[in-house]
Amino acid sequence: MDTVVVPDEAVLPEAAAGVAAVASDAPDRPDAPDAPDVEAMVVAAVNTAKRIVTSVAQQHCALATGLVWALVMLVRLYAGGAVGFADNFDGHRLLCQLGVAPHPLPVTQALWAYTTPRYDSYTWYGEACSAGGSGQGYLSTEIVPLWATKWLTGLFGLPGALDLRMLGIVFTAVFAAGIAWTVHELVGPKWLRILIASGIGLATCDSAIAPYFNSPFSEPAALIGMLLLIPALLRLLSQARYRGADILIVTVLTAWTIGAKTQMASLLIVVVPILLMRPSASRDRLAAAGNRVGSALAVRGPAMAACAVLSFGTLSFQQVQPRWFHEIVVYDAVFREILGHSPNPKADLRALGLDESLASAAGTSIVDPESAANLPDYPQFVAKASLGKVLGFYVGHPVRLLGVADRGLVGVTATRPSYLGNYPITAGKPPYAQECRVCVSSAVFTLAEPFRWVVIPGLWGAGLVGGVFLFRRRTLSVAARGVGVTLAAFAAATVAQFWAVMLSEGESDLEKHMVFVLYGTMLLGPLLLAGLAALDSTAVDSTAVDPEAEEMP
Amino acid sequence: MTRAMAMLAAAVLTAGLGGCASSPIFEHAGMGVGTFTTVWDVGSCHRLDQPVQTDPMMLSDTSPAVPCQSEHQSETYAVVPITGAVAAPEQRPSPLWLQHAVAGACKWSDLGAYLGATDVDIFRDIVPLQILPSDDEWRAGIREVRCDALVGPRTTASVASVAMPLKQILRRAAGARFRVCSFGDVELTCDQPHNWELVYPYVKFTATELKADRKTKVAKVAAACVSPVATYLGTALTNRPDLVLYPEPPPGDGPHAGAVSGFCWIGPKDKDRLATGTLRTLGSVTP
Repeated sequence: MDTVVVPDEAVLPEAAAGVAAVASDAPDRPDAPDAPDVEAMVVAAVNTAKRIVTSVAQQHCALATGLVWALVMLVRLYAGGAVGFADNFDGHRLLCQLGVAPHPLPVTQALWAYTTPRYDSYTWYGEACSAGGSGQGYLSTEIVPLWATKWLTGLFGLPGALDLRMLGIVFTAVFAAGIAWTVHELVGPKWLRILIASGIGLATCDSAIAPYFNSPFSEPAALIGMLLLIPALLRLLSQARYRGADILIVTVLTAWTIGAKTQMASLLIVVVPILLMRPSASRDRLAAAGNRVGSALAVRGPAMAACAVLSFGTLSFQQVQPRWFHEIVVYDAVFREILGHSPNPKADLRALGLDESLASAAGTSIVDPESAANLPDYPQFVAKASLGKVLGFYVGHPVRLLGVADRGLVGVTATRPSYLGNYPITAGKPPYAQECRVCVSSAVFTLAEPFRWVVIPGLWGAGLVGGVFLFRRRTLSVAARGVGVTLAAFAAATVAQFWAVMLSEGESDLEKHMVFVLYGTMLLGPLLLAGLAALDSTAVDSTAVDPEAEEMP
Repeated sequence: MTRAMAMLAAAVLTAGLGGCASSPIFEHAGMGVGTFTTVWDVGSCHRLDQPVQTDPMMLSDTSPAVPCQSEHQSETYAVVPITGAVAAPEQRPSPLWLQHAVAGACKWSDLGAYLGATDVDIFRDIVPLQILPSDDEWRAGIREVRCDALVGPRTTASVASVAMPLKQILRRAAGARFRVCSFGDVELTCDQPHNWELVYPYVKFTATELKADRKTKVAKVAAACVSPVATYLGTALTNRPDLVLYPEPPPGDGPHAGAVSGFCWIGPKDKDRLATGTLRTLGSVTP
């Protein structure tokens, strides 16, 4: 990958040329001293601006692409009124940590029907600020952009202590940086890199994704983490020997993404192998290493340390999650997913090693009036049930996984939760109205719904096969093969995420939980194009077969 | 050197993360402020002005008590012990299960007594709320339920408040805020303009009695209302020529349409006159 360095002179003479044109023209006009030709000045100014934009676009295409997509994101989020997501009660556990509470709603307003962007200062005591009142805090990296949002709310003098509409601006800035970075790290002709990054931009601006950026949920931190991981992985994998800084960037972004939502722990399945895939020590040091095992350890030392940090950090993060979350996950996996679709709930409970008396709660959620949580024997369920037993159940009943997969695919094609409104009440929209400013995914996936078993796994399969194919083509440059690894990694991570959702909470709030699967699937489109671009880059970059030639300047 | 630094940083980070998982610092990370200690005093008033604070999932309230003359949403009327198997676990059980397991610990009869209600008083917009020990308190061995009188109407989006003590409030004029009245077919609190005020108890009808004609049912309700109404007013209705009894028979035609009980309504004799406040005789409750 070439780093495009544009000296100031590359822009300034062209920009200055426009100014000079005005200056040289002016004296020739007889009326110039008394009545400056406004039209000529405007034309000159426009030409100058055009030259500057053209120059910036040509020389800084990555930056320009990022800026254009920032504009697109801002327009789609705010033009015609801000859109976001109504709070389904999940927002409280996060926003209460910032010392804010929702601005009082009109008595007649249904909470889930409209977005509620304004929050006022409030002091929460003890467990009133915890994960669902469970007595344990909810930790997410999303708290960082929310802090920035609170700060921006004050900076812009908006009413209230925190306005979620500022969150979209924070994420738009990061999104733009991610798009620009992606253009910079991709391989292939400039126009194709812009096109691929624009595909990623379009996926992110989609109505199924973008409203999260103005929401009180932790999803946006994970979504933006996924986006940033694309250029980070491309950068890491553009080298035959990893650089420490690149390993650190991938590690931090992976930790950030997993730290946003625990279900993103599935990322480890692809990030750890990628980090360990290539060496990071120089050949001199390799040669200096005494034995084969020692040298193997030495050349992968930083990556191994990164993997240790990620693995241990993820494990620790899982451990500090509220035990209430674990309880809900296991409850949904057993009562909603397994028993809710069971021809014989009692037999399934026996297979799970649980009491048959719980069968009456088959198909319920934990907050239903008929929930098992209201039964006397429920504490035994909490003590005995585990995700390990759920997985063991599916090992013994593999056919049931077909039904699980089908429900999951239906959830993906739904694209977004229909029970949450996207507009504030002031927009004059009906309750629970959903915006459709960039409705690509809902259109495509609605059409694909009858063919969900072909289209969605087909995309995943294409990503995996295409990625592996690219990676295994040794005639390609290191960077091109890196694109293949990135493509396969996103496909694999998306499949892993799909099963992580379905084998944990299953169909409970499925459309919302599937957002990362949806986004990952949507990203496979531009990444497949990137794969094609990388394949095509062989002829241009045939000298890049030698890993030593792949060093970044 | 750079790599060595990176590895050192990674090792420190790893150790740090590992330490975090078991660190007491993390115990209250991401949670509210304060000592996580419940105020267990009967008569204490509490600000629960966010709808989420009384969600069934919210077990505890460790906010400091507020003066009862200031705006608040609940007031503690009893503290009862948790006993039996529910109290046994060292770790506080699952929130929903625990709420269900201790349901009924806060008795309506105790709430009524605290509010100053007798057999002839019925109240609305005030319900029992059970507050359980915080996780810290449970681990420390505290096994009590704080029974609060929670002011309504309260929804998932809005709360109601008072700025006075609730103890014996039904024996004060301000108690009209929680008494049951009607305006036409609309049931409302007696601090709003109304036609009729409800006196307890409801008049029970057997299945056979329900089949009787309206006149018979009205007569039964009227007869049953005499004594409670006299208690309610502090004098017999015959001594109050400005008032009239409306004995509503089942199935009802007002706010209780479709009911299988009869109701004792009293109100101004002058049909054009609306009342505000309560007709209940006030003062301390006779034990």
